[in-house]
Amino acid sequence: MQRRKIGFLIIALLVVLYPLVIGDSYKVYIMNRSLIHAIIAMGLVTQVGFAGQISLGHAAFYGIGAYTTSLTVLKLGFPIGLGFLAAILMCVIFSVFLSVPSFKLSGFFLSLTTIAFGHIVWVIIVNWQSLTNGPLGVFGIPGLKLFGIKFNNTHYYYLLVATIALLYLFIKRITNSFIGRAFMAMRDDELAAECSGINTRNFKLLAFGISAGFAGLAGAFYAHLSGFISPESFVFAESTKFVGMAVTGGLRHLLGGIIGAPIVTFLPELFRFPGWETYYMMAATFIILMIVVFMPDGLAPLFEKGFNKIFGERDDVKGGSSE
Amino acid sequence: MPNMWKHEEVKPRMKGGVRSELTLVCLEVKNERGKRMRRNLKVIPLMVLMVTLLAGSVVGAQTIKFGLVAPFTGSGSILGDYIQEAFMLAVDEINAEGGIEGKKIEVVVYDDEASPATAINVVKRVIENDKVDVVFGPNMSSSVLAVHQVAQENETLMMVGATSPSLGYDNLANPWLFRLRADDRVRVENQAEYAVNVLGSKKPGIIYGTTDYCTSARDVIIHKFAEYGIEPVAVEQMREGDKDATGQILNMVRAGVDSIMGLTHESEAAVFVRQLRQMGVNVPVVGFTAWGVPAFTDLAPEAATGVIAVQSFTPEDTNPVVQEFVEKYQARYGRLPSDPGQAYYDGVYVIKEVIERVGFDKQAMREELENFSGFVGLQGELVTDEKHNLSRFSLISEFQGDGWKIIEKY
Amino acid sequence: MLQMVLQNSISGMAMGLLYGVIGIGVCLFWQTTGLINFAHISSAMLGAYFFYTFHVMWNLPIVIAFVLAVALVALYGILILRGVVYRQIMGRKGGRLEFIVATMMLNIFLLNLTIVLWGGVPYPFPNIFGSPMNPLRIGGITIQHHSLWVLGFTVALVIGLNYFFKRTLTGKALRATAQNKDTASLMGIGVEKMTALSFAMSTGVTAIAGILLAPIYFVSVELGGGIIGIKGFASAVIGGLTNPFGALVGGLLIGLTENFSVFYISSSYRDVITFVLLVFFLIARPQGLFKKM
Repeated sequence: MQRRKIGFLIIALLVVLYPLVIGDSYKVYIMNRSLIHAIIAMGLVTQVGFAGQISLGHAAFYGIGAYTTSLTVLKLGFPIGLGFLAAILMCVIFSVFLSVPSFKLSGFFLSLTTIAFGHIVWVIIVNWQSLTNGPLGVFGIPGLKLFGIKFNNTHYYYLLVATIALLYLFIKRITNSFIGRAFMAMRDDELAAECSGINTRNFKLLAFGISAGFAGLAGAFYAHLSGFISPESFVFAESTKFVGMAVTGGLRHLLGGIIGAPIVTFLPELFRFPGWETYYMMAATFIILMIVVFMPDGLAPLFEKGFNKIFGERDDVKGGSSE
Repeated sequence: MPNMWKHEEVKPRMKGGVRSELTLVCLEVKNERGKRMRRNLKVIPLMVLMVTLLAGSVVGAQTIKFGLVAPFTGSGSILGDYIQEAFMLAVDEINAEGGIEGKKIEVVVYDDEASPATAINVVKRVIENDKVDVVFGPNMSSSVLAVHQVAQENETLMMVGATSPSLGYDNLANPWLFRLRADDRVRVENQAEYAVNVLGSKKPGIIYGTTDYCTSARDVIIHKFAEYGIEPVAVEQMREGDKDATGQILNMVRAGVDSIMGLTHESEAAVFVRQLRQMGVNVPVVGFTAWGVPAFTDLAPEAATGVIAVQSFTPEDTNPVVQEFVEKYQARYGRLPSDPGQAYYDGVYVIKEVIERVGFDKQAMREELENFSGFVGLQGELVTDEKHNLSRFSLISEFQGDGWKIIEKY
Repeated sequence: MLQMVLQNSISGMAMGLLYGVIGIGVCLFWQTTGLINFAHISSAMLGAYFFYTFHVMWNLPIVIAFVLAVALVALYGILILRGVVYRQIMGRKGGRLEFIVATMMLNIFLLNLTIVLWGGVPYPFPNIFGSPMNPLRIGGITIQHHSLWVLGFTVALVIGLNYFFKRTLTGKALRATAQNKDTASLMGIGVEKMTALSFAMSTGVTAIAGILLAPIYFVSVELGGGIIGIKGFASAVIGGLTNPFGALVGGLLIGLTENFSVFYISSSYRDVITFVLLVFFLIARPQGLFKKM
């Protein structure tokens, strides 16, 4: 037991010390981007991995969140905190629309509706120029401030780490409750779940709502972190990237999103060698492809095994209490 | 890179060490069982370590460092190669003659995928990590909007080829941002002027794309037409990747257009013009910059014949400076240069000139650039105006099937 | 006005046929595997690039270039798609989701590979299907020679497939395998061979589709990364996923909807209209327009 505690302590220390040791705002910035992606991927793990409802349109929620907070803050003069809330709320409302098809459809058909949803939202963002400023994007989005101090990358980093810790606890609580069991029952056999008295509609709504809310929160973070948003950041390719992160990390593992997002975000950055302007993307996507094909359970179980091997008992296999 | 097919080699040319490392990891990943797992875990951090070491290459002391951020993959991948080739031509020329004030130029090139989100990553990387002295690019307007503050915060010069009017100093007030090509406002206004005054158009139609480049041009041209008291009779959109424009063309015919203003990207321009000619619509077509480059005319040479375009560069320009550049470029790369390469070629020489005038101090360089004049490049004399644009150069030319005939130079 | 409506329909159908051809490949794949290959459209891209390389860069005669390109893509289908991706995932009893994600990643990888090998600049396609500048004109309506080629090919393909599945032994064996692998293997059908065949057919047909698409789409990465793949899925789904003829009808429906949305409503919101229709269609009639063949 003692050794496990040491293990957690080491990981916590690494997480806390990262920006202080790196001290380089570019690498901290990329880490912030990966943490933002991790929020979305965590939502996807809940929705796709646990509840079995596939979504290939999450860039739309990411975009709705980003646009809601920036427009409410810039045009309506909301305080930023309220903008964040509005972003989450807006995404949850939109998730209701998207979950309606899921009452009837599943698997591939559902993925096609979510793709359609993503495209529809994108076209509207591009063309509703009076509201969204169209392809020109929204700029001058204010950054976060606390006690008069403007947030720098390191501040954002700690805020994001704290947020992710809270979201992790939230998801863990949910998956260990009757909701989580209902999700998994629904994922494994919808008919059987319904027969045992589970109202699958409500649980689908809930699953979509949670992950849409997460994506909205991530979008809000992105808008305020980067100060500029435009429709190019919310295209279909982004949606596939988010799902890729969840799968690389481990779709059925609580830590999946948290581990997958930084890997997928950092990989292309690692391959930016001189002369590799076109090769780097191929190399990065090749590694992700290999992980997805040869390790469909993702890297999180591997991480957990490694952790258990170094810091103690093997018997505690039940998913990731490691942060 | 088609020429690689001439060799037997089909595999991508990766660098040896890294490649073997990669294959090793992949092989390791395959063997998932038992003890192998542990080695697996060891190999991955090892590889990450190696990769980071390689990435942080050692910087020589007596160099000046330029960063180039351009799109090589993604929707703008057409442009990346042209930009890099012209840029490297200038850099290698300068280095061959001993560099700038005795310092050789060192170059860092990154791909921004034509996406603002990636542009932030790489611009932060060149400025904060690689600590370059000057950044060239990004070339997409929305990417510039996303990253220009990074240059400002770090007091690093950013020389861009993006053309959206929204990037001017009057709008962004970023003292570190300069533009190497003419503002689209200038060129699109020339385009409208030409349509009204020369072609005598009374009922223009507009076809535009969905990016900021196209929509801001659309807004400018509608505004300019309004000054002449003309309202476009059909304003139609063509989304990037669309391959059929019949509906849009029919709407224009129905509205009775007497000229068409083309404000889309290159591939859509080719699709549109081809269908227009197939359907026998023979009104004059005047396009903006994307309609004046080989990426468009190569795709539909017959249909593009007769198209008039506002260009920022054409290899047919008889200006001897341009001709010399075209010759050197062709000798080295085996093809003709294209817009926006010339802007980056000019940009490198502008920085050289600035350093020779005021030295390597960043603030001094910035101040010199602010009032820059007296330098002749490919785009004529480069003079900074109040919007931080170094060039107002534009041409109106007609495509003749195998090349462009210049009608007017501004 | 009537002439305009007719012209618009003709062009819409020409595009729709292309979506339909992509959809046919989707059907062929679904029929035997019950899966959707999200890297489907990259077969079309590879087909077009291979053909371009062989015919234009290496100056091989059209027929040889065509056969080589299609065979290479079919080989990729058997060796990589089936031999690596499908095997790995099915061997682990991975579900649909794993396959969807894996093929999505495969698609992204192939796109980046193509950019590395051929560059991002689109290549013009040679006018082997007739010059685009001298289309047929019938009563003021323009029809491209290329569209007629596509029409001829798709009709031949649908009839051929129908014959193959219903009349030949191999075709019947394929259908049997699709219905129940265990029973099929008890009947002496080589299940492994049959899946390999269906992978080869699906990727090969899509490669042909890619070559047919190239005069319109050019030889560009847009073929493998653009929205056309999604529209191909959509036409297959509207047609009921098992019926090649249905996929063709689905494609035509989408093509017509698109062109008339532009004509009567708005060019900016065209895709919204198409996709909303698709979603409504999926909810109202998830089994598609046509029954199993």
